[in-house]
This record gives sequence, C-alpha cells and structure tokens, in this order.
Amino acid sequence: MADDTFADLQKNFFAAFIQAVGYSIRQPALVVQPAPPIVGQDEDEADTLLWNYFNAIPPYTITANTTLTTGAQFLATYSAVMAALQSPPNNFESTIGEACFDGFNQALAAGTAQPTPIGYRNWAMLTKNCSSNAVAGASAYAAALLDPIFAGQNNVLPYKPVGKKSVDFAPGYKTMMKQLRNAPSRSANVSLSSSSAEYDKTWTGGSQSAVFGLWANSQSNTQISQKFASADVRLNVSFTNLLPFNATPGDWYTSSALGIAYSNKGNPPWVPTASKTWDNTFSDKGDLQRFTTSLLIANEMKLTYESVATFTSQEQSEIKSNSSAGLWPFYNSGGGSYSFTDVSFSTSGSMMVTTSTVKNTPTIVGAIIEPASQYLGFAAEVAKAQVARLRK
Amino acid sequence: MNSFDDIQTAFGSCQAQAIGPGASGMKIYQGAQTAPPGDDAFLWGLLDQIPPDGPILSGGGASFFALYSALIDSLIAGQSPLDPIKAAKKNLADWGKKPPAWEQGYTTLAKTLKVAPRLEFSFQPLPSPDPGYWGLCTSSSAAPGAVGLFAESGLTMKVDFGHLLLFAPQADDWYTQSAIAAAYQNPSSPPWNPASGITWESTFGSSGTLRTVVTGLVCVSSLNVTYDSQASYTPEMQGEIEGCARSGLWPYYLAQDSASNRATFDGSGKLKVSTTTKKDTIILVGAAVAPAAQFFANL
Repeated sequence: MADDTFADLQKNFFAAFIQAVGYSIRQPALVVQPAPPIVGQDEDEADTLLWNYFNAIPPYTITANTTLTTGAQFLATYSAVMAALQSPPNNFESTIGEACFDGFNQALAAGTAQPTPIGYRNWAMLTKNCSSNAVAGASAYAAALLDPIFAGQNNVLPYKPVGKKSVDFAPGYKTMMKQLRNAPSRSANVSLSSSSAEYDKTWTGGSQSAVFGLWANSQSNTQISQKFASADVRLNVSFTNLLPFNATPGDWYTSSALGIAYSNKGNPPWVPTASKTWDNTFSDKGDLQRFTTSLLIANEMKLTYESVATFTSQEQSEIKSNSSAGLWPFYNSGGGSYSFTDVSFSTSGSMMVTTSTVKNTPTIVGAIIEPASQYLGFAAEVAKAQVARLRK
Repeated sequence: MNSFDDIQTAFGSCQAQAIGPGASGMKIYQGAQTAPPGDDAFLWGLLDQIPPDGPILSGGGASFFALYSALIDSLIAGQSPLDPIKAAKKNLADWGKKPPAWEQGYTTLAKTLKVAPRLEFSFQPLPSPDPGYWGLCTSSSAAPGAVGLFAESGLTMKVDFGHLLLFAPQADDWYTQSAIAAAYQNPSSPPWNPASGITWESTFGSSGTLRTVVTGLVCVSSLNVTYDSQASYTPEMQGEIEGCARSGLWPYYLAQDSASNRATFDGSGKLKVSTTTKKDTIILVGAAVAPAAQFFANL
C-alpha cells in the first residue's frame, strides 16, 4: 500500500519517541495524534475530560487517533462483567425480602441511597415496609459485602450505565497540573527510516490501528526502488514539560472482583447464560485486554519533520521519464503517479509538517498501557479461594 | 498524466497524513462545513450521521440514534440488576423523544480548538508524463477544460489550519456502550430476538446498517490556503475560475460568507489562488470514521 511508507515512518517515530521519554522500546504504550488539549469550563469539567481518557480501553496499536474515548469503556465494560458473575449465597435478600431488595437496588441506581450497610439502614428506616428490617438488613448486608464479587456488583450499581454517577479516577486535574509544572523537559532529534525494522521490537511488533483499512484510496502497487526505500526523514520533537500521569479507578472499581473474573474462566464465577463471557472480555478477541495506567501529558510541544533524500538532476530526469517503472512511492491503480515533494525529490513523502502546542495548556501525547495479565495478575490466589467457596 | 481524481486523491492522502495516521480513515466534507456559532445541534447532527462507503460525506445519511434505538428496542434484556440491555432500554426511555445529544458542544469545541496544536503542511504533486494521447477527436486534448489542465500541471500548495482538533465527545446518557457491545459480541444468541427482523447480519454485517460510524469531527480554527498552478489558462478559463471565487474553490469550496477566495492570473496565464477564512469561523474539513468491530467491541 502506498500509505505503508508513512505508516512505517510513524511506527519508527513511536519507537524513537517511547525511548526518548525514558521507556524501553518494548513498553506497551501508544502515541496519540493529533494531541488533544485538556481544558474545561471549570475544574469539574477538566476532571471529567481527563478521566474520560483513563476510562478508554486502549486499542492494540502503537499509534492511536485522538478519539481515545470512543469504543470500549472501562466502567461500562466492567459493569457488564459484574453482571455476568455469581456470588455465593448470602442472607441479604432473604433477610429483607424481595420488595425491599428490589427497592434498595433501584434507590442505589437512582443515587438516593448509599451502597453501604449504614446506607441500607438509613434508606430502610424511611421506607415503608422495610423499616422493620433496617438493622438486621444492614447486618446481613455487611456480611454479604465480605464477598469480593458481591462487593464488586454492589459498588458499581450507582454508576452509569445502570446508575447515574459518572466514572472517576484519582487524582484529578488540579493535582495533574501541579505535577506537570514540575515535570522534566524532553527532546528528541531522530532520523527515521521507513525501511528500518526498529518497530519490530515494540510491544505490538509494529501493528497499528485497524482504522487504516477504511481509507477509500486503494493503492495496489507497492514497488519502491532501493534508493527511495532507504530515504530518511528528519524529525525533531521537544517538550518543555513531559509528565507520565498515573491515576487509579474510583470507588466504582473493586479490583478483587475483576481479578477473580480474570483468573478463572469457568462457571462459577461466570454465569453460563450471560452475554458477557470470559472469551469476549479477556481473550485476544476480548474488549478488556489492557488498561491505560498513565497518560503522557505534555506542556508546550513542538514537532517538525521533513525528508532529507535528494536526487541529482540526472536522477530526477531519469525518474521523470521512468515514472511508471516503480520509482515513485505512491501509485494509483489508474497508472498515473504522483509524489509529495518539498524542496526536492523525496520518496519518503517529503512533506514538511510542523505541529506545535500552546504553552500552559496540557496536551495528551500518549498513554502507558498494562495488559490484563499484569493489571489483574495479583488475584490468582484470591480467585482460587473464591471459586472453592462458590462450588460448595 | 494526472487526472483531477488523481490530484484530489493525492491531496486527501497528504492531508490525512499531516493530521495523523488516525485520520487515514477520514472522509471529507465536500465543501468543508462551517460551524454556526453556538449551534450544538449542528455538530451533533454531523456526529449522528452514518457515513457512506465512498470518501465524501454528504448530508442525509441515516441517523445513528434512530438505528441504535431500534436495535435496543428489539433486543432481549437479562435478569441481573446490572444487565446492560436492561440499562440501555431504561436509558433510552429516560431520554425520551429529544434529538440525540453529545456531552460536549460548540462552546467546548471553540475553547478546546483555541489551544489545540497548530498544523500546517505543503502539497506538491509531481506532474506525471503525458503520453500524448488525443481525446475524442483527432489532435484534441485528452483532458480538455480548466479542470483537466489544472490536474495535469505543476502545483505548489501550502495549507495552514491554524489550530486543528479531532472533536470526539462521548454520546450523552441515551447511549449505552456495553449494550451494543453485548449485541456485537454474541451474533447468534441472546440478546438478539429470533423473532425480530433486526439481526446481527442486518446490523453489523458487510451491508449492515451500523457497520461504520462517525467517531469525531476534524475541526480547524482557520484555513489559509495558497496554491500556484503552472498551467497557462486561456482567457475563457480564467473567467470561469474567477467566477468560482464567490461559490468556492478547490479543495475546500468555501463560499464567500465563510471565506474570501482570490484567483489571480499573471501575464502568462498562470493561476494563483488564496483562500482565507473569516475571523472566528470554525471549519469542519471531514470526519473520522470507524468500523463496528473497532467502535463497539474495541477489536
């Protein structure tokens, strides 16, 4: 594909970038283009915008478009997993009865009750037909909450999409800005070659987002001459401050519950008839295979690139007269040919591009990622005990 | 020799590459859209549009909200209080008959755009050799007219976007992502209703109604375009091109209420075009799209 040359350049840019900011070339991570700024009408909105990025499940790519927040979302997917798990029998529903149980769940979703034993007691005392079991119910509830799966299901009920509360992480925007102001500067001056296979060492082996496949411009001829294939692109990027900003999920998230779901594929803990399954969650076809643990946030970024390849005037005329012989990097299937040049001939797409961001506005340039095996791997032992309890 | 299609395709590719690899699935608005100040519904309407197969977004696509609502309505909910289909039906019912909204609108777009990265790029396609074929008649041109001449001649172009932002807000509470993910991930079983005409194939299949969606709008704070065409245009062609200055010129086709276009010719008939958008005018040059597998199930 004619686009491959740029794609390969971008892959090598990622490889250079992730090392320039201090990580190993193998670090699961991605760069984002164009880098979205974080601004809000007020601090609450800025928190929301920032947390939406942590709520995005990162795709399997080393370069992502700015729409990190579309597609699978952590909270919604996690909530669906909780719906598909079974907790061991407990006395909560039998102690308070079906009507109070349903009523309390609705109140949790509506945000009019708190998902805690005291929260139940307070709600029940003011609810007809449930006030008589307020204390006993709170006690049974506390016992039930000792089970990680029950706790996981309970804690996410007040949150969207079932409840009204929005996703949150800690810390938020204010803390991030403090950290950003003190973060070190970084810069990189690299010569990128589309022919280098440096990107093979990256965590995806150079795999980039599947969104490329939709481009309507179908290029069928991929022949590139030796000289063109070895042409370099000179790139300079600098940041006044670059911060790896780490945030963890709020109270909606019960790590032991998700860890148990991850560590055990069977039924229990999974409910066999649920539409959310271990396979469509954690397998290589799943939607919760990895998590964003840090955002790479930049203050004042400048990036320029241009190709360096030049050709003698003799080469240029030779190229002109042999344009159909595969010397161009870009072909269309109609037999015409075109190239992007700036000052002189270049095959790596001698397009001169300059991108710069505004001072004191944080922008997200990338994300550090943890695969589920790392994020949830701690729970193996807890999971075994849990499954044993469920099988009794 | 290059046809106009070749030039347009090359330009589209160059533009997408400058914006970033994520924009390679980008479809263009022909002509570029002007965002009416303060008009959230205009932006949300564009986000709600199901994209066509070709590279150009025209108005009048199906509504994502309408298709999503019909889908959720047809699915069967599970028992758990946390069941996503149950939640999706409730969230749609709570939303009611209002048109769909997204969590951010014009105000946030304008504010974020002001501080988004600046982007400029240049485009200079090389003319390909002309084999010299005649057109329909003996000795006639194979690419007659101003358009043909433009396409086959040297072109040097600079585009300055001012600030560029891929505006991709999340859908508001009417939308339950985990419900449509559940539908996508379970093709032949619940939550699909076997009695319904709405099936996995009719929704997500190769001709499915929701096989691709718009994920964001490519917005620029200003457009400053200049290009020089090396062809020598006849006086008739010059008149034709000058006449376009009011309605809009390649590549963004902005009319004079949004931008000032100037087409001038030197002594040998060579063309120089410059387009500058009016102050505080946000232009949408295209939209990013994603296939169902990526958007609904993160595959």
